[in-house]
Amino acid sequence: MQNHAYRSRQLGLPLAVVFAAIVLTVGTLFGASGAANAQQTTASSNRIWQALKGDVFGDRAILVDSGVVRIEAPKRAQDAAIVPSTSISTRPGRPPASNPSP
Amino acid sequence: MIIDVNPAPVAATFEIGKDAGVTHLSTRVRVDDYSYLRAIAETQGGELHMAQTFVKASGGCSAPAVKNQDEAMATMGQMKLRQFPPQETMTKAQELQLMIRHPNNSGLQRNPLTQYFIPAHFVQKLSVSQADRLILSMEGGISISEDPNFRFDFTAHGTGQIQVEAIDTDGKVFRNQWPLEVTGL
Repeated sequence: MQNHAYRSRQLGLPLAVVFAAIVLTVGTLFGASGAANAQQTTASSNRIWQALKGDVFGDRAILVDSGVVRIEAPKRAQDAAIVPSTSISTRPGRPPASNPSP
Repeated sequence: MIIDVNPAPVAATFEIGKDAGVTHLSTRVRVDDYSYLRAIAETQGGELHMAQTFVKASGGCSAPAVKNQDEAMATMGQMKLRQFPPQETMTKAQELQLMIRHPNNSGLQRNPLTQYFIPAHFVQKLSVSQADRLILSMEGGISISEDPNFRFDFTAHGTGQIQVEAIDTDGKVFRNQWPLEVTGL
């Protein structure tokens, strides 16, 4: 009997090691997938845009924030499937539409 | 309009009719992840102008539809137009809100029961005109939300009818027209 208990205790050690190894592996896997699903940032969104720009507009110059066009959207969307967005264009020499007329 | 991180980043291309007087345009879009939303406008002179805003959202393209598909298919193509009188007495600009019933499936949504992807099916082309004068036309994609909704201002020329024509990816054509509600005075 004593011999049996001793043997199982001997077996217990490597089992614990294997279990720890499994926990470690699963942990790293989840960690890795977490990193892969990381949210986009302004920088990564800009990188996508730089790569995309040529496909859509060729090498045409794009004037940024010139006041001709504006876009509005909530900073954080309540429902990602229905994000209200508004673009406002104003023509040079005309007041923006949202301004009250003088 | 461009949404950088969406599977199809060019969300929609709008063309504004000559003398249509459209100065603003609102719609609803799907946003798949944190992303810049960009509005790029081409002037008559051919210049490109851009504005951008960063939106924190995720999963918009694959989010399940609000309505069940049978109901959405039964009412597909129904349209509603709301007309708003000019807000300022000094201007003639009226506001229109066009609502179209269409599931606008993105192709990235799954059937909740079978888990199969629901095929993409969306409004591809849309045009709004008054008495055959173009106010606004759109080439859309999967980034436009279910039941597309557009609100914009325009300057009426005469009292002709407002005509709307929408074509979806199945080649179905939906047409509707409404008399112009004469407002002001």
